[in-house]
Amino acid sequence: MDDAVSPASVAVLEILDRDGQVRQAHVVTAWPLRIGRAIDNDVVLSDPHVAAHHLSVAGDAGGLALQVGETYNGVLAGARRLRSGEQLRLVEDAAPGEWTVGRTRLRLRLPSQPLPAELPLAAAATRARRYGPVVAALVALLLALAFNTWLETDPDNLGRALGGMLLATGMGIAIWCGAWSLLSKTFTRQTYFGWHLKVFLLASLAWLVCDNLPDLLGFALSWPWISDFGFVATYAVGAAALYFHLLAVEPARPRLLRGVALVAFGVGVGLSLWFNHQRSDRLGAELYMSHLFPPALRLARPVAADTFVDGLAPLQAVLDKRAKEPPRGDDGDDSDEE
Amino acid sequence: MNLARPLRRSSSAVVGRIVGAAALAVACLLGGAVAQVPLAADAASAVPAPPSLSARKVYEQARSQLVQIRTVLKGRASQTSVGSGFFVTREGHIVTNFHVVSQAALEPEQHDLVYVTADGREAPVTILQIDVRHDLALLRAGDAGQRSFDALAFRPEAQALAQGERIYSLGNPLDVGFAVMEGNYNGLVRRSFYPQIFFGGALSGGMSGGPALDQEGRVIGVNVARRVDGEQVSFLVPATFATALLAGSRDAAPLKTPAYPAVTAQLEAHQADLTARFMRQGWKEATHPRYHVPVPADEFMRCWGSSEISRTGGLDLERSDCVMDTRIYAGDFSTGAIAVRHESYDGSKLGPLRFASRHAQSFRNESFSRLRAEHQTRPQCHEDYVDRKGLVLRAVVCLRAYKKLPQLYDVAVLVATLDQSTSGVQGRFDAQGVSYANAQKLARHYLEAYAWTTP
Repeated sequence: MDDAVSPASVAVLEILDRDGQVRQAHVVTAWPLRIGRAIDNDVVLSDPHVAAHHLSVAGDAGGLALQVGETYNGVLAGARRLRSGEQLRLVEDAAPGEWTVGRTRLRLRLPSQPLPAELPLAAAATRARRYGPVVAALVALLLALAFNTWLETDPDNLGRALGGMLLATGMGIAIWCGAWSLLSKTFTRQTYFGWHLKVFLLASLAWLVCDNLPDLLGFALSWPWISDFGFVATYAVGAAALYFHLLAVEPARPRLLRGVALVAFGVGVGLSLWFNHQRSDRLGAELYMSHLFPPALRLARPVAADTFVDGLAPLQAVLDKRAKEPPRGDDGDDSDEE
Repeated sequence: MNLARPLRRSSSAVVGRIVGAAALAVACLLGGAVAQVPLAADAASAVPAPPSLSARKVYEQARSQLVQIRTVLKGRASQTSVGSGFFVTREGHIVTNFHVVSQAALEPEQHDLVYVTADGREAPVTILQIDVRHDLALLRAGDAGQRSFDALAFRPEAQALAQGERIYSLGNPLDVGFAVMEGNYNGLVRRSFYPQIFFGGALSGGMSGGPALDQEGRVIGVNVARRVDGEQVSFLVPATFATALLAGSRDAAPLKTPAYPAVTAQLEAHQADLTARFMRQGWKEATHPRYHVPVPADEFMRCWGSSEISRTGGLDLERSDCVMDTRIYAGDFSTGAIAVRHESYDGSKLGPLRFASRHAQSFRNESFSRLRAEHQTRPQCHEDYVDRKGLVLRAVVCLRAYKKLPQLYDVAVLVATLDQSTSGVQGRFDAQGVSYANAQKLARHYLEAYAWTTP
């Protein structure tokens, strides 16, 4: 920071980092303000992509205006690129204008612009509000995982399996959230560990629901397709988690990150469908619905054996057509045993 | 063909498979490499026998009628497999196994067949007819017009052999040289779909298609297979099928195109027989305290059972596995068999939720792919809840079509009972190489066998 801002200041020019934090601030005491790489500028930028006299801001009867100097790269103001000689009139009572010159981001704050309210420090919030949701999510996840472990383990092995599950979950959380925090730290100089932990916990809970609910519905209603394509919902959860994790790595560009998450979702689903088709000639993940729940949860009505066997008839045409196609892939082993 | 799993490669003659609790392994005798057991006296006859005079006599009489059948890669002069055969007419008809000539029969554009006599005379040979059901083939020497041949005579069917009678199996084991193996006639193999002779003697790879002779040197059977998990447990195709093949096709024109149409037609006939006999034999009674669970009568199937008590307080189960020894060798794979199995689970130590999880795991752990993609399509399945007089089942039927055997399919039916919260039964039925109508008929037959014993 420069010297304290004197009452004579007419503006503050801030040089921003790529994450939006202020790296340097220049007090402007008089117009015009000349910005460029040459030494005779009011603000000297040592960015090689900046021209000698890149731009200047000056006032006249109509108010302040930005004037682009002799530059090859021009000035990026929002989505608009200003070329050499172009002029941009500044709005003096709205949010500060942000421009990119070369690779440097600038923000000009004027006294007439509204000042956003002070942000409370995280520490100022109550403990319950800071940690409550995270602890609740963690407890819920551990309970869900413990239930899964209980479900899949024989009674005599339960203690060991629960211990293993706890250890694996703890390690998993530490490694996953640690890696994301490292990324955040690299790009934003803050770890955001709490944020990554929250995203991970909520995403894991959502993933568990999306993974099991289609199976249960498939069983209850005899809808094989719903568990067949249940993976789409889990991929959606994965993509959402990716978006929120990335948000703490590149907070300034949420739209880009939404795009990245959508593309990842699309690519993931597309690849899975393609892979399933290669493997089994079907788009779904399961050859048949193999999820069995307690009989009381079945809602679908059973059919008579005759009706069921009659339902085989349409498969013959499909099989006969496939039998004439040249072979693709190789999934059998010519063994005699099934 | 019964119990016969022909051997293809000249390096590995052993084909093992596990059926139920017992290891059942059968190898056919085509160019194999199994440690040769000297033809000493039987373990049963404690007296060490001197070299048998009759074996020498039988071999000397049959030597000129005996041939080795070689399948040769066209234009490469290297053999892909070897077996044995024997002349049955003066006009040069030769009998051997189908599996000895299957490569030449199914891929004639890539393979040639030659016969080689004990004196080393070599000449081409053509296929007149095949019998895949009994694993036989009728060939004719390519030089038939130019010479006459010594032929072996068949023993008249009316003269039945007695159990324990000495018989002699001839052939060229492992391409080592012509040999005679002495053994005993032990009657017919039990629970075989097609009749097959149980030969108490050693057979080795390469002897497939060779003759088995009585003490007068008359043909009683054709060497076809052996069990690799037993000692001197070998199998012969009864001579009557060879005489029928000869009578029906001695004037047939040589086969020039791939024999798939003939294989398909014979498999069609086999599956019609198999389906009819399987359905006629019905199901066993009292297979489960709560349900009628389909377990086939064991006319031509063998059922093995086992039980497992969980040592970790988990799922206890009982298993039944019914399989046929007979399967039809159809070139690169075998088909034409039926298998029925089930597992019944007791999850009372687990409670409903954990039992359901185990039930689902077991239901998921099933494969519906058997043959490579060049032989079979991928499975197509149909599934639903099926009501069997109040008993609710989850049923899945998956079918695969054969690519080179049109209108033949493998069908698998998977069933899980869904009426109790901590116990249940899962069953599976498999039929290979059946018509679509029979696949549906068998699936219905199997599903309809499920019910409560007392509603």
